Amino acid sequence: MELIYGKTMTISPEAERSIAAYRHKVFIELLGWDMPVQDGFERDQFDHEDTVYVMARNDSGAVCGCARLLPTTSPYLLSEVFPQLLNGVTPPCSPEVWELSRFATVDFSAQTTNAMSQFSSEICVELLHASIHCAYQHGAKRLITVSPLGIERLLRRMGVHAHRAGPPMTIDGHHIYACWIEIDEITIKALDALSEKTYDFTDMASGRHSIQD
Amino acid sequence: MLEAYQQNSHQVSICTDGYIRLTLAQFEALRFEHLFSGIEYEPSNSLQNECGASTTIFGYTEWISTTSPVVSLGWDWNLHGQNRKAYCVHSGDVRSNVMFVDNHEKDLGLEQTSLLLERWLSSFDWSARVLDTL
Repeated sequence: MELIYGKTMTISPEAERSIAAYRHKVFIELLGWDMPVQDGFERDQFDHEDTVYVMARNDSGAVCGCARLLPTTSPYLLSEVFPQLLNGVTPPCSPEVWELSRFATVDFSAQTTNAMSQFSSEICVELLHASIHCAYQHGAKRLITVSPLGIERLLRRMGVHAHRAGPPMTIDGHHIYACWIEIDEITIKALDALSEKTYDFTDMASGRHSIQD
Repeated sequence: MLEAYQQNSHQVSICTDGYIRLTLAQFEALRFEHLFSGIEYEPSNSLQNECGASTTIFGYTEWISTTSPVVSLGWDWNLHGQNRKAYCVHSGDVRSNVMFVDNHEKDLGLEQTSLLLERWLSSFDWSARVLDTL
């Protein structure tokens, strides 16, 4: 499996298109989410030049996972569309908080793909690990995410330090909630133990870290 | 008496990290209402073709405090039966936005919070309410 990440301008236009097509297959065709689409691609107003993408490709080169990272210093999904999930709190706006969204790890070349399998466990661990490291390199100390409620169980099983920001809500027939993921020793240790890859989080204690795009 | 009054009058507030920090006594003074429950469908396809094979019915349930901000709790359950009566037994962790603190407002941590929530759940009467809603 290959993991690729970068902003819209740094990944190739072909990679961006394959992410949008993959998102259409997962979120529109498989999960039936009601979202704007165009010609088989799923994109929204939060896919712009500052958006950071993380993509996983299987050995055949097909996309088998994707994630989207947005700084909370600009408008993001939770702040603009789902602020009601934050238990009355103002949506975060900090360079140390990034939003993780459009996270999916369906490998369509695997035989067991069904509506329950938005997340393949091995790809899920690797994609989450890479996404957290990528966000960390951009200065994040915490992630906030809007997710289907089932994700919470998955994060707990992995041992990641995650907790809900407020109660779940039922929106368009889906149970969703806002979730905090802490980029701390608990999370890093849990993912290091599960993942085949190792990332450098050595500056975490000093709080010094930033990315060069 | 004074202690009881202080517990019940505790103002629930949310911290910048999203946690609601409470002592166990403050938590135990809260009232919880059922939010929703549902049945999970078995992800495995392995039993589909085995006629007569036993299966497990399991699901999830969500509860909220009557406070604002809201304390949110959720857990999974398995359906059991005894003497022709069905009842739910919780399984796994209680998922929440709570961090328990000691009397000096020091965090008890994830593990201890999880243990205390599970202990609290064992004395909370929730099964009948869940079954009513399914």
